[in-house]
Amino acid sequence: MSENQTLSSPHLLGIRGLSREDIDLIHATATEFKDVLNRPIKKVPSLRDFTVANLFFENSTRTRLSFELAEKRLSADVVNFSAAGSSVKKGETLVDTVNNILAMKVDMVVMRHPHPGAHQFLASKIDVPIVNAGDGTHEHPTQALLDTFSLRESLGQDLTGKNIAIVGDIQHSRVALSNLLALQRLGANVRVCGPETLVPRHLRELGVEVSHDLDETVQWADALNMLRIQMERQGPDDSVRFFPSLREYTMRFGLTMERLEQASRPLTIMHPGPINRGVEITSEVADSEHAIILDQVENGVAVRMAVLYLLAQRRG
Amino acid sequence: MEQAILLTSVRVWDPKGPWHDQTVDIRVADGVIQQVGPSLASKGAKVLESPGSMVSSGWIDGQVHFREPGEETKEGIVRGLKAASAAGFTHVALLPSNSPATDHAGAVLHVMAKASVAHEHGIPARVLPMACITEGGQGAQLAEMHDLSQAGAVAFTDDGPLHRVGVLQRALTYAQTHDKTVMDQPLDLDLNAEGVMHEGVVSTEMGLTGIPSEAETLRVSRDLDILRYTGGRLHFPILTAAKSLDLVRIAKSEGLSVTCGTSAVHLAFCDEDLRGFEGTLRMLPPLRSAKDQRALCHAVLDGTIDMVVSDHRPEDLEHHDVEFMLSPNGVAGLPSAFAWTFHSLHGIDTKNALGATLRALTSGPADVLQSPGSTIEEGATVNLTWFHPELDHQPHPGTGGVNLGATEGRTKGQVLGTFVENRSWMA
Repeated sequence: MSENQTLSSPHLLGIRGLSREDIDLIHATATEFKDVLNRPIKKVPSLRDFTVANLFFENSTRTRLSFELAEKRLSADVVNFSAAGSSVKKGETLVDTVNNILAMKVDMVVMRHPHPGAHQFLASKIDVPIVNAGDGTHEHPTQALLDTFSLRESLGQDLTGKNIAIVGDIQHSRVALSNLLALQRLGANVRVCGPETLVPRHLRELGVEVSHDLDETVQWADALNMLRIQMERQGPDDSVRFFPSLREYTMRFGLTMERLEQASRPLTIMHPGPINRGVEITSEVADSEHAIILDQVENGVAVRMAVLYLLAQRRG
Repeated sequence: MEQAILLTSVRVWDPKGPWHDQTVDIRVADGVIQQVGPSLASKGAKVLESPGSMVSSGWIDGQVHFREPGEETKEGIVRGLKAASAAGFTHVALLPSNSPATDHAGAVLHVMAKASVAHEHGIPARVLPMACITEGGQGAQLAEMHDLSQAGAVAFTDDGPLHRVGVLQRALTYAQTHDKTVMDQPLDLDLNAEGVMHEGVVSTEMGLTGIPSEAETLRVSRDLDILRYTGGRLHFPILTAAKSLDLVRIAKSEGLSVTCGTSAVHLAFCDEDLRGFEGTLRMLPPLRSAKDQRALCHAVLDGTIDMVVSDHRPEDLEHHDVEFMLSPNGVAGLPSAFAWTFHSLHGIDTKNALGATLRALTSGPADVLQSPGSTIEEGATVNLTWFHPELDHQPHPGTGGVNLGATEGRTKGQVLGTFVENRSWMA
């Protein structure tokens, strides 16, 4: 399986560290694993006698489940460590926590951490491959890899010139940053659409279009990636809110069938989950033929298998 | 310095003195400059020589943290003064933001007592103690500024922003009788209190919350308005944004009694140096854009910025070796403060870089801190820094801090010796 090619980096810290060739290699490998996942026996022996630790310093349900399934489908041994903020509270440093786990002969680390850059710091301290499963508001590379994988399935392998819009809370989203980097690597035109206060001021300097008008964006786009409003990232209770109310947010940025029907061509609708039905997307849209939300979830396992496999293979 | 010392063939930098820009020998003994002139006889003095080296009056660092009392494991006053001496500084203005804070006369006397221990050990650098504006540096009620002045406080600062404008108004008014400088670090954290770096394209790429330059300029404008109303002496310790400098230029042209500084770290680095989540260079106020960095260098060259400080803030390994978001603000900047400043200005104006650097480390801070200046002439008390502007910079060991910004071999400017009265440090 893709024996001759390897990733350019020993870790997956972010999309920023990946080349176009890396992304193509991951997607090609994921295609092969997706076939495996649709066979009666869904398991391959690629990572037999290989131990992966899933370290989640921030809550997660779906991403963690998806990684764990990917690891098990590859026949890896899996250990899970889940402690939102607890190591810091106990006074133990991140490096000590991870080194304790590595001392039990672990071969790879999948980590989610609330601090941007935590993975980069860890990579300078430990000797095993690290997969970033989300670092605060910075990156979430496997989400972007599975989103673009799903888009290529839906819109065709060549995304050059395709118009892709990311809609919602851009400011607090690691999905948005990783997605726009991945889409740019693949030649797509990227636009973000959201409330004026939830789009970083300097985003245009990254070559991204900015809109605050969902109706106009629906006309422009080939696909929409609808992000959730992250209430937990809107700052302390006494801070000035970024937008007046969820009601007004939904009025402006909620994707309804009426809005979708204004489009001049069929649109592909994505959502990284969990969905707030009736807020950023109506049930009618989420459950329609336009939506590839469950395909994204299925592809997530295959893409994560590809990442784990390629990093393990690179290590030899 | 029991033995007399003869510095040979040194170029003198002393714009107000008789030997400025001449290459001479200087003979010092018993804490006094005994003779200046060409080709002096050694007469048993220890002869010091480094072709191309220079001498100026002793450098003043207008803002350092030595972490004592409260966090002595990170450095302490004696060790800090040793590091200052090895970095060419004969005087350092000690921030009052310790635990407990230097907010009463007894605390000033404690700092001086600790400094005198250093002098007993032969360390030349002296302390200029600064005191809190408010009780505990909490920004609410004025500290006993009269008593603090009497005890030896040279200036007043809470080592941070004064959030209540009424406190600044009272402090500027109250301090006038003693003619002391009141400092306010202009930073309005209501604009992104959770910010960890400059707001710009780099913070956007790193997924980090930024602090816009307006957080500074808003406060500079506010403070200048209050200064127009109260009178007094106002100083902005570390300006970081180009627009702030324009506001200060206008205020100075009006004749307002305002001065400002920046740090050597802000002259040498910018937000782009944080890429890769480089926690050593995390600062508050933050390192701003490359454009701001250039504007700061120009402002030192044209004299808008009166002084450059190291803002020395040493950390021990336990606090330093952590991920970016847990990284404390600040750099142990003393050992490289001169080299960073000189190198940064040299990149813009080779001809005037050295003069501007030395002004920002000598007469500039002396004026702000009202410390008596010194000249290089026969009979003057010894207060000298001996250095070489062309040698590659290698920070001398001494500081307890491990958070040194790495620039070895990249910059020019090496300190060779520091002399205060009858104490000396030599490389």
